[in-house]
Amino acid sequence: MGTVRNALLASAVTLALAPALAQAKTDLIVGMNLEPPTLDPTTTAAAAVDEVTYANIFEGLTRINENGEILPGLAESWDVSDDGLTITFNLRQGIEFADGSPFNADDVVFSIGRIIGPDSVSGKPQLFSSIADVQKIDDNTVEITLSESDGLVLFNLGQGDGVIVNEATIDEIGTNPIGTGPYMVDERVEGDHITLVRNPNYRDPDAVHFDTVEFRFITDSAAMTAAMLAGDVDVFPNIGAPEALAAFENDDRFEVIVGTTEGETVMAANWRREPFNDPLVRQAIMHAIDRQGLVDAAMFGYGTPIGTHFAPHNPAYVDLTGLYPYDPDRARELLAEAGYPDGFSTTFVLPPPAAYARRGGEVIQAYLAEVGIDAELVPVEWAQWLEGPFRGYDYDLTIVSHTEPLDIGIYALGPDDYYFGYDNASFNAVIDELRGEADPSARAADYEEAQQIIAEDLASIFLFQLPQLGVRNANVQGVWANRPIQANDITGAYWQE
Amino acid sequence: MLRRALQHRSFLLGVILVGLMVAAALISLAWTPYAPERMRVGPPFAGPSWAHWLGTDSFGRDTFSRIIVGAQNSIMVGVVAVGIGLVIGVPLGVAAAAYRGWWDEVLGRMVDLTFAFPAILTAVMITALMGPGAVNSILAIGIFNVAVFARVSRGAALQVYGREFPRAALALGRGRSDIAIRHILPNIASALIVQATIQFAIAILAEAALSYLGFGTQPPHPSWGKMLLDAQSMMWIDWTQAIYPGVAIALAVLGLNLLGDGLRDLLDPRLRVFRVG
Amino acid sequence: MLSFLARRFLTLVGTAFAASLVVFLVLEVVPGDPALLQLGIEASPEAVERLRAEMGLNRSAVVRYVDWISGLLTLDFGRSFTYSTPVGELIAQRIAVTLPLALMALVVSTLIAIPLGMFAAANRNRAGDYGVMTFSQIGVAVPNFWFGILLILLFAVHWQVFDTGFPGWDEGLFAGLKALVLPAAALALGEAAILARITRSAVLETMREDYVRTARAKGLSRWQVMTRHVLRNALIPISTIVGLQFALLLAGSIIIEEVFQLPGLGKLLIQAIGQRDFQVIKNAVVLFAVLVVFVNFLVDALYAAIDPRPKQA
Repeated sequence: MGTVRNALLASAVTLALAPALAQAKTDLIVGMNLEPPTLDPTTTAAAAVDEVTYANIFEGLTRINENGEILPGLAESWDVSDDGLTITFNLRQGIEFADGSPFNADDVVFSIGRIIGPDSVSGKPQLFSSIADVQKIDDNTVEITLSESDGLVLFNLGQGDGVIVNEATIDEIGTNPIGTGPYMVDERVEGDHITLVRNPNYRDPDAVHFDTVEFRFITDSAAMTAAMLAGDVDVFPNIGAPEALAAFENDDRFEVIVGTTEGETVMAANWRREPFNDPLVRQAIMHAIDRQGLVDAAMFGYGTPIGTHFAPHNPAYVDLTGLYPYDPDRARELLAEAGYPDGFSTTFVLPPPAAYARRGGEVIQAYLAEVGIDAELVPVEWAQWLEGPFRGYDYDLTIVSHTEPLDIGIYALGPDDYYFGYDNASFNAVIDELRGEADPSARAADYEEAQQIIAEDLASIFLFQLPQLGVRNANVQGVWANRPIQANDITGAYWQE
Repeated sequence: MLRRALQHRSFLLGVILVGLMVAAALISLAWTPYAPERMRVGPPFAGPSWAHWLGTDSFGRDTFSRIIVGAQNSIMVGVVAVGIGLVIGVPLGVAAAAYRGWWDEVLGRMVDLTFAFPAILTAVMITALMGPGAVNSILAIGIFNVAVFARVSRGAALQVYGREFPRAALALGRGRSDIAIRHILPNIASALIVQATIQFAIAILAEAALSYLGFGTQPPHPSWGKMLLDAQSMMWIDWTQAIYPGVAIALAVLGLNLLGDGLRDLLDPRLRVFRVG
Repeated sequence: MLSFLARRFLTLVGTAFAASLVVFLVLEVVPGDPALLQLGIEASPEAVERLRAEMGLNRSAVVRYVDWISGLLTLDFGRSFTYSTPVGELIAQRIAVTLPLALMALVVSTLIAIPLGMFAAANRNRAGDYGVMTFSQIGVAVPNFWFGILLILLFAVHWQVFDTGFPGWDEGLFAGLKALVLPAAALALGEAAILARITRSAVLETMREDYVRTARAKGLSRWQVMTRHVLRNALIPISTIVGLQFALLLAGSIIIEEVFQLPGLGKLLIQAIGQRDFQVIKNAVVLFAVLVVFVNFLVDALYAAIDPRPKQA
């Protein structure tokens, strides 16, 4: 491991020998916060798995780019029937998996087949719940039938959960994944790193920029900063620790990456429980929190306040943050009106993410204290969070970032199927309408109406959109700034010459 | 005795340091420059100034206020964790010395088993699995103290039982618990006081370590260990915040250790202090 | 003496067994379902149940315990829930960091403490002695994780001559050892402080012995007496303590690995606790306990060999 002094020395040398050295650099070291527990993106919901494998090792029928647009992937084109229920995919030809076996329609039928239906092995089966069947037409054509029109299915097939896997090697996919992407796994050291090397059978060898790509796992933000400064890591696409960016903001050797994610950070206030079933109390809580102040204190200013459950970079977004603005006096009045003139005591369950949940929790606690609400912080590990608040609906307040794209529909899942406990028939009707709607402008109108309803009801306490924060060596180009899906697609990255 | 104490310089230093910690805790009960849990009482990462003697943390909270309130936390942890050890451990240890036999054997094995797990490991297991928080971390440290005091009081009591007077008292028909309270406890008190001081120091260290790992005292209550954890991740922005809580811990532990060593010198220089981390 | 050792050995086995039972029982009652954690937020209940069955979590506790112990006896530690790789491999990988770290700390601590202790004893009640004793008091009082943070501040942030983290042994012996220098120093401070004090009193005690005075009377220099007679005899109690310290250093690595982000056994354990990877937790904890008990046993054995007076078990 080099040191910063060595790195400085090296960059001085680079200046002198720039072209030669730049060309010599054929490896990329990518830092990540979390380590993938397995290397099969189709059977797990863990984001880190997609972040290593998506596009780098495995490809889907469609492919999502940095801006969330749907591009051709292993399917070079597709036709959607007029009723929107049948999609015919025309597959690329002459493609091989990393083990040399050919890719064809059978692989698609196998891959899609295992993630749909009641026996789905998928980590997120609801992404593909609209797919009723998948049929091979010929070696290069596949037909997917939907049970209902689904505007998101092409997008979802382009996520890590929908990638095409290899049937012959399926038993060892978790440790030695074989895909059609430009790289394959060379070495995996648990708790430390995973190294990818070129897939020798990749269709376009000239488009592969690196001989090796190493994903290195560093959880601690101080250690992350040190590793970047020392040049031990070239890119940290998703640094998760906004405080770490301070060290790079004024340093020419690095570029700070600030982009968007699909993560709406919300504080759920349990609708099933007193006093959170009282709209006045919910409004009081919302009035008590200064969202910009929260972003400044917890996120070091990175992040956009939101007033509803929708990503601000989406064209259909409506800014509803003015509905219940920061006004502690109003909050106290509302609490008194609701019968809590002296406030009340409650608990606030915090999952592990350090920045938005743990720091954010502390800041929110302080805001609530100002209006007389005494919230005891209960930090938990993910296991307990999933079992307690998320599955058992056992919580008063909790905070989490919902990182699925376009997931406003979770407010229509009802109190029996989702932890919010929110139930509003007119909202459910809008979501139902959306499901069958194919016309983009009508969809946008529905989305706007849906945003309005949950914002007025304060279905959750809406806080801010999680930013995508990262840092890269200034010479590494082509790294995604935004995070429309969980991925570190480094197939377009390269060293600037 | 008093004159000897006054001449014992390191003992005096110990008294002063512990006195400072207690004074800080007491003062902070009544007054702090700022509410220790209040954010934005100053700009974040403000350096030391007249307004903020030790500067502010990343949330703009006053660090001096948090440090002196943190003393309350450490004293509370020490008192309760040592208290648990004394209240449960001493009767167990004295009983083992009084009855010997299988009871002694069983207790000895239990104590061995406790010491087989490194203390920090036990504490991490208990707090991480049962849920982080001040109560669980005090319990985790307390369990370990039970074993320490059981062993120390057994050893000390055995020596006393070996002397003439308890046997004489027994022959005179006095009850065993009566003998234990009247004769044994006063004679092992020095050993227990010295050991308690040392365990107090260890409890403060252990609680700081647990809070540093995120398993101990939870926000917004200031704890020196948690302050270090927060400061470490902000090291690149402001390293000074990583200094003060560490100094506070070190001074508190130093004071208690000096006090303990001094007490031993003054009370009974032959006492063996039992040290396990 | 042999019967003493045999009894101590039986105790060792008994303690290890009891430790395994305690860990197993604790893991039985803690909240947090490992299967649910693996599958994440959106998993269906059926999928969770399937994975629980795959993990063997739906069998009775007794069966699982017997299974685990019989596996242990054949060195089969099972598979990690998180990584689905054999726990034995994971532990072997991690112990390749923790063991060198503890050994390095032991060496550093001993190399600092013994000369310091001897120096203090030789200069009893003079300035040098007070200096060493002050160092010792401070060394004991400074929390090792804070000392670690200070070392990082100085050497990694300010001077930038060391990094945190661990490059792996395949980067070369030097790179690996270099990465362990700061953590070992942080770990060694407290133990060196204690060892220096113990060395001092052991040396002082030996100097009171008749043969030392005789040697002095024979005209040997103070230094010669120190190295030839005093140190050799004082080494007996010192080495006992060094042995015991090794166990403490192993335990201390749990927090130091967290400070320096070293992929060792302690970090594995903390991470496994967060992920409810029971397979890793139970084996790692028992391994820690067995190491501690085993080191204590070795120390006892050594002591028994040196000092033949009868002992209580």
